[in-house]
Amino acid sequence: MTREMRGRVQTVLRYVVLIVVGMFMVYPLIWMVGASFMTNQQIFSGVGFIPKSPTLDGYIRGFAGYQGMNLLYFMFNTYKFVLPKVLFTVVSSTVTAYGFARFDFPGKKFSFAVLLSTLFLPQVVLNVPQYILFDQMGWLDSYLPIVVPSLLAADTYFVYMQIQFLRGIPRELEEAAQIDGCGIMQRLWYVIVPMLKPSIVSCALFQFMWASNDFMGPLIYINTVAKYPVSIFLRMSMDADVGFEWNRVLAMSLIAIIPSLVVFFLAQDSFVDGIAAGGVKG
Amino acid sequence: MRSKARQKKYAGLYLILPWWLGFLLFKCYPFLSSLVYSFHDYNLFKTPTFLGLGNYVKILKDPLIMRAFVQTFKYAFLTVPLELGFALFIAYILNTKIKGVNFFRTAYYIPSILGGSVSIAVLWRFLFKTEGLINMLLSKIGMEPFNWLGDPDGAFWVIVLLRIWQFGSPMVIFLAALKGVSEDLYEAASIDGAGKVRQFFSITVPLITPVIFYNFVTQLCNKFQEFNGPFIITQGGPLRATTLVSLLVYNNAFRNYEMGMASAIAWLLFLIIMTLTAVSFISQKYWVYYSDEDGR
Amino acid sequence: MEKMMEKMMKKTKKKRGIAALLAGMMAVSLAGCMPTAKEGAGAESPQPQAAGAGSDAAAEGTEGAGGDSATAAPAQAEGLQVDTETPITLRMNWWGGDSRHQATLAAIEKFQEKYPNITVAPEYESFTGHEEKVALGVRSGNAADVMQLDWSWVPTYSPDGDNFYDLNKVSDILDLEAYTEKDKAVFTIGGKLNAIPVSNTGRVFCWNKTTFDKIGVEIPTTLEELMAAGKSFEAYDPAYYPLVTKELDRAFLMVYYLQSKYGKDWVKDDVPQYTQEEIAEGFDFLQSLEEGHVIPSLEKIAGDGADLIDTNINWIDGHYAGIFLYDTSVVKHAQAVEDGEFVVGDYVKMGDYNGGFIKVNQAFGISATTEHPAEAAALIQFLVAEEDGVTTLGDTRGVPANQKGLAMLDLSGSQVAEANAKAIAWGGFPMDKTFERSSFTGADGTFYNALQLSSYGQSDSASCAQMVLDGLAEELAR
Repeated sequence: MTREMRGRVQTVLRYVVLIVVGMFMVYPLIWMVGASFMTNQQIFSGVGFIPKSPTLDGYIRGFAGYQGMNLLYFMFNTYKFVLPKVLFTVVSSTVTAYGFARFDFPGKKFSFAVLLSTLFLPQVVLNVPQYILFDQMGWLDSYLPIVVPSLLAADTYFVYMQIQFLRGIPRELEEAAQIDGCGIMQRLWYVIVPMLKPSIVSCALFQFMWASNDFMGPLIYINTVAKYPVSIFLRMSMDADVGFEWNRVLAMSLIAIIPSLVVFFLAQDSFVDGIAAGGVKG
Repeated sequence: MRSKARQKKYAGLYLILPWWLGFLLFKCYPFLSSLVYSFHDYNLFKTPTFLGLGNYVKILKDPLIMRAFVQTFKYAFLTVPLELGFALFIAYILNTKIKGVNFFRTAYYIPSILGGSVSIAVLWRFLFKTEGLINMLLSKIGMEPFNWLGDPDGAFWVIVLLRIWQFGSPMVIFLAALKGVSEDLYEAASIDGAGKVRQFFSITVPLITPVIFYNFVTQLCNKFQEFNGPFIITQGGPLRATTLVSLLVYNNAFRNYEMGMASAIAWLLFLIIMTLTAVSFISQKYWVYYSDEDGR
Repeated sequence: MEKMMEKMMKKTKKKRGIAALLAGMMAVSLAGCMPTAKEGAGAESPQPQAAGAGSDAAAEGTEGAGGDSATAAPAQAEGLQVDTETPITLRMNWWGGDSRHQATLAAIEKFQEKYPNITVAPEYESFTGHEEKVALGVRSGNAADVMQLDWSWVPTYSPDGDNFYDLNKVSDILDLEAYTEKDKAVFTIGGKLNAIPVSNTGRVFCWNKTTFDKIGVEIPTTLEELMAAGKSFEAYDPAYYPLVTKELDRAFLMVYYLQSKYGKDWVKDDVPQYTQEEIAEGFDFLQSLEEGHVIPSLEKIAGDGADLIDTNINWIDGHYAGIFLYDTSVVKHAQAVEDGEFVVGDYVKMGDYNGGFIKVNQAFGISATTEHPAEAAALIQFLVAEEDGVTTLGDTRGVPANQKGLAMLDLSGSQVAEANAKAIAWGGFPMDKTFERSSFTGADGTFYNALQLSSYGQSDSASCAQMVLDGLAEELAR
C-alpha cells in the first residue's frame, strides 16, 4: 500500500518537474510561431506570443524567394549534402572507433592523442588555410569540402563518442563470435552495430542537425546562389542597414526546422529498441 | 587472449587508416599552417614577417587578453558541471516508462535544435531585459529587478544560462547511455531494498562513467571555444565581461585580419585545453569504469 | 606539437605503409605552411590575366612608379573593347536585404538584354559572414569579377593597391568624369584607382516629432536647446529621453562636437589632430549629456535588451525621441516608430564649424584577377550611369554618388534623399579609414571600450582619452 502510494507520488512529481521545466524549453518555439504572424513593432513590444492582428505576410513573402528559387528549393539543397554527410559520418566514425576501441596496434596512443587534439583548436584560425587547400584542390563552389572529409572520419567528436560507447560494452559476445569463426568486419556488423545502435542513432541525429544548421561552412565555400543551403537562404533577406521583416525570417526558420523535429521525434524509437540490445549487459 | 591480440596487430591500423588519411589530407596542413602563422606578424593582405614568440609575449603582457582567458575559465568551469548535472537529471527522468515520454524528449531537445539562430538571440534578450520575464518573476516573489544585460556579472550569467538551457546534446547522449544499463540490475537492487537515489549513484552512475567522461571532455572543449552565445547576445560586453577567448580569436582573424595574433591566441587556448584534457585522462583510472576491461 | 611531429618522423623509420605517406605529407605541409608572399594568387600578381586582353605596356610603366597616391599620374585607358560576341560569364557579388537583391537582379536582366553574349552570375547574401567570404576570395584570387565593397575594406584588402583592378585602365568604358576628385582620391592607392563610390553618406539628426509635441518641446537646433530638452523630458517623465546613442553613435557624436568646436579633421595624413585634453573634453561632453538626461546611459540601453535601436521597444514606442544616424538607415528607423511622426531634423549647432563625417557608403570594385575587365567595367557603368540600370536600382544602395546617375533619378518624397541632401549640404569632414574599423569603434574596439568605461563610471575622461589616442596610434600603424 505505502509502496504503491510512494510510486504514485513519484510519478506525479516527475510529471510536475517535466512539465514545468518543459515550458521553458518549448516556449521559444511557441513564441516563434506566434511572432511569425506579427509585425516588427509587435514582435519587439513584448514577450507575449499571441498576435494582436495576425498577418500572413511573413509566409507569403518568404515563399516568394529569389529568381524562382524558394524555401523548399533551398531546403532540398541542404539535404543534398546533409544526407550523404550523415551516412559517411556514421560509417567512418564507427569503423574508426572500432579500430581504436577493440584493437591494439603500434602507435595507438599517439594516434588517439592526434585524434583528440583536433578538437582543441578554434575553427576560425583554420578557415584561411582550409580555404586555400580546397581552392588548390579545385573544390570551391561545390559540396565536396563539406562532404568528403566526413568520409574520412574528420568529425572527431563522433569518433570519440563511438569509442566511449564501445568501451562501455563488454567483449564477451565478440569473443564468442570470434570463436564461432566470425571475421573482423562480420563481428562489427553482427555484434557491435546492434549493441551500439543508440549511440549510432545519436551520432546520425547530431550530424543531421548540425550539418543542416551550419552556416559559415557553406557560406565560405559556395558562391552560386542556386547551390545555397537553407541556412544561408534564411539570412538572405536580413539587412542590418535597411532593416527587414522579422516575421518572414521567423516563418522561414520555423518551416526549416520541421525536418529536424520530425527526424528527432521518429528516431527516438531507436532509443527504445536500445533497451533490448543493451540488455545483454550485466 | 594475448596471442589473439598480436594477430590483431595490423587489423586496428587498417581500420583507422581512413581517418589518418583524412587527417593528413584535410587537417594537418591547416593545423601546421596556423601554428606557423602564430610565429609571424601576419596580416592576411600583407607579407608576413617572422616574430618568433613575439605574439605570445604580447598576449601574456596584455591585461585585456588575459582577462578574456580568465573569463573563459570561469565560464567553462561554471557551465560544464551545471549543464551536465541538469542533462543527467533530466535524462534520468526521461528514461523511465511514463506516458508521453517521446513528446517530452522532443520538447527538451528543442532549444538545441534552435541552436544559435537569430530568434534565440532576440528571445533570450527579451527574457533578461530590464522589463523582461525574468525580472517580472523576480518581482512576483518580492525581489528587486536587476539589469541583467547592463551589468557585467549579470550578462555573464545570461550567457551561462543560455548554454545550460541548450543542454540537449549531452542529454541525448546520456539517454543513449542509460538505455544500455540493464533493467535486471535495478530489479535486483530494489529487491535488496536500495532506494532510487542509492540505485542512481551506485548502479547508474558507475555504469555510464565512460559517457559522463566523454560528455565532460567534449563539453569542456566546446565551452573553452564558446563563441556563439556572447557573439549573438552580448557582443562581448558590457565592460568586456563576456569577451571570451574565441571572440578575441574571431575579432583578430576576421575583423582585424591579424592572422598571426589570432593563431597565437588560438594555440595558447589549444595548450590549455590539451593540458586539461590530459589531466582528465589521467584522472580516468580513479573514477571511470570500462566494461571492456573486465577480467583483464 | 613539435614533439608530436618528431614522434611522427620517427615512425617513418619503423613503418612503411602509412608512415611513408605521412612523411611525404608532412614535408609538403611544412613547406606549404609558411605564409610567404607567394601563397595567394591574388596577393601580388594582379596583372597577368588582365594583360591578355590588350596592350598594357604603357600602363605597366606607371604602375612601377606607383606608391605615392598624390604624385603618380593615373594610368591611361588601355582601349579595351567590350566583347559583344563571345559568350562570357561575369560573377557579381553583393550583400544586402530583399529590396536590394530584387532590384539588382532586375538590373542585371536589363544588362543581359543589352549584352546578350554576357551572362552575369549573381552571388548575394546578407551581411553576416559576407566580409569573411570576400576577404578569403580576394586573398586567394577567387573573388568575383565585380564586387560591392564596404569603403573601409578597400585599403585593408589592397594595402599596395594591387588587389583590385586599376579602374583608370578602363576609364574609356567606365566614365570616371562623373565622380569628384575627392571621391576618387578615397580609393586611389599607390596611384591606382581600386574602386568607385556608389553613394556617399553622413550622419544626420532625426526626431520623433510626436513625442516632442507631446512633451511640448521644439525640435532642437542648438546645443543649448538640446540640453534644455533633456531637462523638459526628465520633468515630464524620466523614462523619456530626447536622444539615444549606443557606443558607436557616441563616438560619432563626440567627434561631431569636437569638430564643431575646433573645426579640424579627426585624422589628417595619418596624424591624429586632437590632443588628449581635447578628447577628454569630448568625454566630458558625453557625460554632461548623460547627466543632463539628454541621452540614456549605456547600462540602461544594454538593459533594454535590443542589439539595435530600431528593435528597441523604447525607440518603437517613442520613449527615445531622437537619433544621430546615417541617412541610409533613416527608413529603417522611421518604419520602426509606432504611431509617431519621424522627421529629419536640421543639424544641432554645437560650435562655429560644421562638424561630423562624410564617407563613402559603398563602392564597386573589379577583382585584380578578372579575365574580363572591360565587360566588368561595362557592368558597373550600366549600374551607375545608364538610365536602365540606375532607375532599376533606385536608392537601394543609397543616393548615387555618380553625378550623371543622380540626375536620372527622381527622389522626391524619399526621406533617404532628404537626409542625404542635408548631410551633403552640411559638408563636414572626410572620414579617415581607421575610424570605422571594428578594432577601433566596433564591439571590443579601443574607442568602444573607452566609451563604456566612461559611461559606467569606471574611468575618468583623461584616461579614456589616452586610451583612444593609444588605440588610434595602433590603428594608424597597422
